[in-house]
Amino acid sequence: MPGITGEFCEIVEAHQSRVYSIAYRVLGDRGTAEEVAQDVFLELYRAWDSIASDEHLIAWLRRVTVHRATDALRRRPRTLHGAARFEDWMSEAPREEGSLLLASEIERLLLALPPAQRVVVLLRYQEDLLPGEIAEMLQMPLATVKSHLQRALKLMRARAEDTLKEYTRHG
Amino acid sequence: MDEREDLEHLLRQGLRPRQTPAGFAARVMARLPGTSPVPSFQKKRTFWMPMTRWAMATVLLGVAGGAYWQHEQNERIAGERARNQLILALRMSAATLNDVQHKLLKSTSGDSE
Repeated sequence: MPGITGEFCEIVEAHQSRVYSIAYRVLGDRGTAEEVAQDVFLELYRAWDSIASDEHLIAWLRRVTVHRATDALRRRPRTLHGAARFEDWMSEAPREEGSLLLASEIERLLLALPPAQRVVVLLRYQEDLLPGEIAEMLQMPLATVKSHLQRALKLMRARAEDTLKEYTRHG
Repeated sequence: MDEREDLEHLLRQGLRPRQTPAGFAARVMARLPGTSPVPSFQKKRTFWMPMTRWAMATVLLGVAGGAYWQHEQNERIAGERARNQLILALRMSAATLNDVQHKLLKSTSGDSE
């Protein structure tokens, strides 16, 4: 097991952003995302002896975070599965700032996707995994991963156009 | 860059890792086994801990001192016993020698008569 105050704390600090981002973007709510992210690190602490390398550690964190966040999503009332808590993403970013506005809009579009598509998009564009790697990680046929990606991009593009129309109409 | 590549580029930009809430790592560390906050009964125990330690040290020193004194006593008794045995052995030897000498003297005086 890693030393409590030393090595493990460094590991948490190095990977907390990745783990929290996956949990938040699957769940769309900060409170549950933090609970899930904390649980993932506690699970990592218990499983530490089985971690063989840095690459293994990152793959382990991705896989366990996706599974724990998806489990938490299933336990949640069905109405919150799609576009998660509106007030959460609204309060996250000041809308006048360019990069934050983009991040906020992308997250809104992501959270409006069905959960399976959301996870695939997240792994592809946040974690930069190839479709084959996503298929292996989620134990899903490669064709299904590709189909989720295509449908998700189509849906996001359509919603982004709708939002843009609304902005131009009100702006 | 076509429409699809443009969207993919936007997605990569928009899905950069988020910042964790402040104090996240500290909250994880606090939940690790062995680093949980100290319950009140443990705090009380730590308050009494120095006194208990001193009392235990005093008892241990007492026991060690007693054992040393007992050891010294045993050594002294054993030494006295050995000395007494030596004196007895010397006395016996002296008596035996006297006896032998006495017999020798008697026999030589008998021869001369």
